[in-house]
Amino acid sequence: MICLTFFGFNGYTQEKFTVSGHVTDNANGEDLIGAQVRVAELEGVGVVVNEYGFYSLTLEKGDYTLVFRSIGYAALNEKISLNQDLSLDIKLTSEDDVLGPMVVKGDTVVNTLDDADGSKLTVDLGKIKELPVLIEPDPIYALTQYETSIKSAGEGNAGFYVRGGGLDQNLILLDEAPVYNPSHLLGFFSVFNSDALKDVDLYKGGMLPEYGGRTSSVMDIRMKDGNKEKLGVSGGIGLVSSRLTVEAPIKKGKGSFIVSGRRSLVDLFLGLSPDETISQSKLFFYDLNLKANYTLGKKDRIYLSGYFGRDNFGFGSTFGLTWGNATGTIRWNHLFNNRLFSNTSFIYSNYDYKFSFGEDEDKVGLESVIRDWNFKQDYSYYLNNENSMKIGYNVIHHTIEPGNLEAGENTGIIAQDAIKKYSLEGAVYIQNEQKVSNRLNLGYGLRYSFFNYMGDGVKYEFDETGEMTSEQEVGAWETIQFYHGLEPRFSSSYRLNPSSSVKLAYNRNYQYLHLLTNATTSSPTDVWINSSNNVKPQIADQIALGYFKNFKNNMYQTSVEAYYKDMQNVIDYRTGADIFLNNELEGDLVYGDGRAYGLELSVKKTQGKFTGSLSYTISKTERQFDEINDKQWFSARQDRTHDLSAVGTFHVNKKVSISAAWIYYTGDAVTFPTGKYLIDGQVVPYYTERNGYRMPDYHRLDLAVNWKRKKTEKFESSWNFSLYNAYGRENAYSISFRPSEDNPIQTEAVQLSLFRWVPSVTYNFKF
Amino acid sequence: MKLVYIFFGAVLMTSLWSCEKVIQVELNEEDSQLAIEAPLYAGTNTFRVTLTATNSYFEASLPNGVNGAAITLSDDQGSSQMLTAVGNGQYEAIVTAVPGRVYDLQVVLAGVTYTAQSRLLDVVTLDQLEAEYQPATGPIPEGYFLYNRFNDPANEENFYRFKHWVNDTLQNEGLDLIVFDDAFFDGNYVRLPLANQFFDLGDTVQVEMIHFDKPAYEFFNSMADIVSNDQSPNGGSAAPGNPISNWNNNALGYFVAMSSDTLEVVIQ
Repeated sequence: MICLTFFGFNGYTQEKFTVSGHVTDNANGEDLIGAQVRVAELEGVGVVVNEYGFYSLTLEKGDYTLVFRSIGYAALNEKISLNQDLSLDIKLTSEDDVLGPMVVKGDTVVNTLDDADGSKLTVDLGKIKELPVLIEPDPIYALTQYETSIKSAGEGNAGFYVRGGGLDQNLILLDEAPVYNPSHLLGFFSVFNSDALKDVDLYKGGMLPEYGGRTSSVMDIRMKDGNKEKLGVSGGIGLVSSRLTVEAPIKKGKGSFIVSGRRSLVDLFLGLSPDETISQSKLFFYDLNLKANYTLGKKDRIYLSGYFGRDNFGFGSTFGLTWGNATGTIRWNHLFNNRLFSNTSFIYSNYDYKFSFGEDEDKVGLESVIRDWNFKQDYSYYLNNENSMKIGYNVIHHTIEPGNLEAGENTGIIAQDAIKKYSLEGAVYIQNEQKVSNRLNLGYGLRYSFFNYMGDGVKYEFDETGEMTSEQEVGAWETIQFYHGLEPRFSSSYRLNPSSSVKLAYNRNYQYLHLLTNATTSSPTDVWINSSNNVKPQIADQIALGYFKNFKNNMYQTSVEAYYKDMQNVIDYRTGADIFLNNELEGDLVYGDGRAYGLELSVKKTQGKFTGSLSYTISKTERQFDEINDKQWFSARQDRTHDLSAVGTFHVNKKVSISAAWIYYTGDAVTFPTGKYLIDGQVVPYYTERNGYRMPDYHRLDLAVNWKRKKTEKFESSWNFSLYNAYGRENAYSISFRPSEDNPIQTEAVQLSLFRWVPSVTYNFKF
Repeated sequence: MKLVYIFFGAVLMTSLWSCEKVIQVELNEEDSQLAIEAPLYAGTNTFRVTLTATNSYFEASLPNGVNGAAITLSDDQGSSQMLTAVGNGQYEAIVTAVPGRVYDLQVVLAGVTYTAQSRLLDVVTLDQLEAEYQPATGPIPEGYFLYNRFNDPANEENFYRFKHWVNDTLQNEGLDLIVFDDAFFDGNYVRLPLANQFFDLGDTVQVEMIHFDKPAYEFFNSMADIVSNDQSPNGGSAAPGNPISNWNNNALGYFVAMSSDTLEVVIQ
């Protein structure tokens, strides 16, 4: 603990005491992650409630007023006399219940000017329910569609790009477990069920050392703990799926559980069809979120959470495709004393897909799996008012099964498994959040990460052209390749005056697992590969500078952020790469550099009859490979120069709100042919340049009306009517080049558009 | 995998709101590039080499032939012969190609020498074609699947291509280009579906199974990626580019020596 000397112990020895406890929602007992605790008498003194609802403040002996605030909750003042260590649990009441959403009251606004993590977005799960939806409500839809700094991977796709990073560079955590494929139904819905979620944070940069493993962003999603006060049932019916959530105390005051399910219902109608081919089709997805927590005495609490989701497609016995994630987390919170909080997690995560043709002896099936076992230990130490430290470590065992082949006797195909890959990924970190003065807040620390790719397996070596030059069997637990690196992180905020601040952040991130995809959008058959002697870890360095200013007692929050990101060892393919069942796949990959920079502007109004945001991002994202475009830098697919969004909600009265959202962005960079030639009588396009062209610019308007039909103590219900792409713009999903059907000599460009005027209705209830 | 894509495409097309239209796209003008197409069949045949220059993608004409080249075919047994220009970018010779030999093709054009090499392999015989009825499944209508049965030579890498004709018409659209290797059935008696098509009762189907070497496979496999799919945003290939040619000096196209076997079946 040499580092302690850095944290500035005060020289004098005034008597100090600690006030600590949990901050929860009054109605259901949910922990309020990220709530702020401030001391009214001491300007700038306070802490943020941690991810388990715990806070700890150490102050000199005396009388204070503590102010508790959380987004969407009425602030609460609590007077305390601190002449001994105090335990103080606080319950906050939802703003909706106190004021109704249309009341202007600056006091409920959480002021983030002093938060050092400038590049963090928090989803207000209550507010986004009022926004338009595409077919189904989705908790990350508003982030990927309406935040210009987050770029959606494609029309209605759950995948996203952050500040020039790739689709696989986002660490998506659900109760600490990584979710390897966050999409349902070929990418059109995310796997997250908003009824089961409590908190969604997205770090675009400046993430503290506790997070690691991906280079671009961290999406930290926490499930609800379940109602600790009473039995609660809520649910909803949408066009595609229906949801039902049950939550209740286990033993009042001791614990609670939540079970939340969602399933698509379209296939129930298929089953009714008299047409056998339709009734034998399978087409459904489901999600099941489970969580329970139990308090063992004053100092210990145990959490158990799980997620199971699956998609199933199939036509009789001819064809079947299924994929899904399963995650499980066991956590133990322990309070060593009122300043030292510990969390121990044991985490499991599994993603797999399978497809098959035919049945019995004619069957050919393929399965691919990625599976993690993860042990994680974190300590939070509330050293004093000025310093909150966190120290921790974790070890993950990854198993990747690229392809297990199953084949019936008749096929003549040898049922064999592609070589399974094993690896250990680990990290140790230390971080401190320090209040240097009333104006200056810092977050800093270091993460050391390592990756050990090991047997049993086969070590392949390739020459420059991708031809294999050697293969060598490696025994179990024997190292094939070891990588490690230091990841320094720094973030800061400096308050210029009561209404404005500047923030500066730097982070270096390592990424040891990489996603290979055939398409540009996320697809269930994407392949995860690990770093190896051929595949180096991806490294990104990012620096971000922001200016934040609030107007009218924090009612209007504006920001300007600039970033520059440098990426090493980004991955692309050689032409003709086969990513399926290819043991020598690594020879088909090429490695290069990336850079991205941009400016993000945003204005948000979070209070009042009218709420909304206006944001604009101008950015550039480029890649460079020795093997592509004569080593010249070229635009990455997701390089969208201009990105603009305007989102507004007008609360007509207590019951009805109207929302509109308009988005516009520059078309993606794409590769088009310049010429053509014939091979075997087929027209073959002749390409001269990677990503040298642009898709047409994209824009659309979405509308929604929310109607809270009934609200009593016992029952409430609401309707959401949405219209996606209200003016029916034919946005290009893809542009393909092919011979005309009428005249094979004539070639043409054909644009495919999805989703013109998609109306949807959702009904939600709660009792 | 191709069938998975077709399936995705079908789902996209039929179950979601989508529409297709022909649009105008401005493409850059680039210098044209030489493409050489040279299929050499086993046995005594007319060996025809076609030289063309790429033209603009939207130009409503076929690429022009390139005349004036000197073309020589030689093999590893020391024999060598010149091809005769017959006009329109085509060059011919009667060639007796012998399995086991490695062939070299040299094209000299405007002072540049282009070379490519290909090994002629033994024929692998198609044993049987089997038609099997498939009821209509979802968006795919009923029809007959055709299975090809053959013995794969053991303990060596083999590469194949299927070409097929329905009622004497060569099926030659993107998804009809079927190439594969034997990584998953080395040495076995195989039953492989001609996976891209359902046939109707009474159709006469001819299947030609071509056996060729790895560079040939790499060319046709990468070409299949590029021409086979037009429904994913990237045109189906992980990285759109030009097929992997076995010509040097950036010439497009291929020189492939191949042996083949053909069977015919009437669907009943």
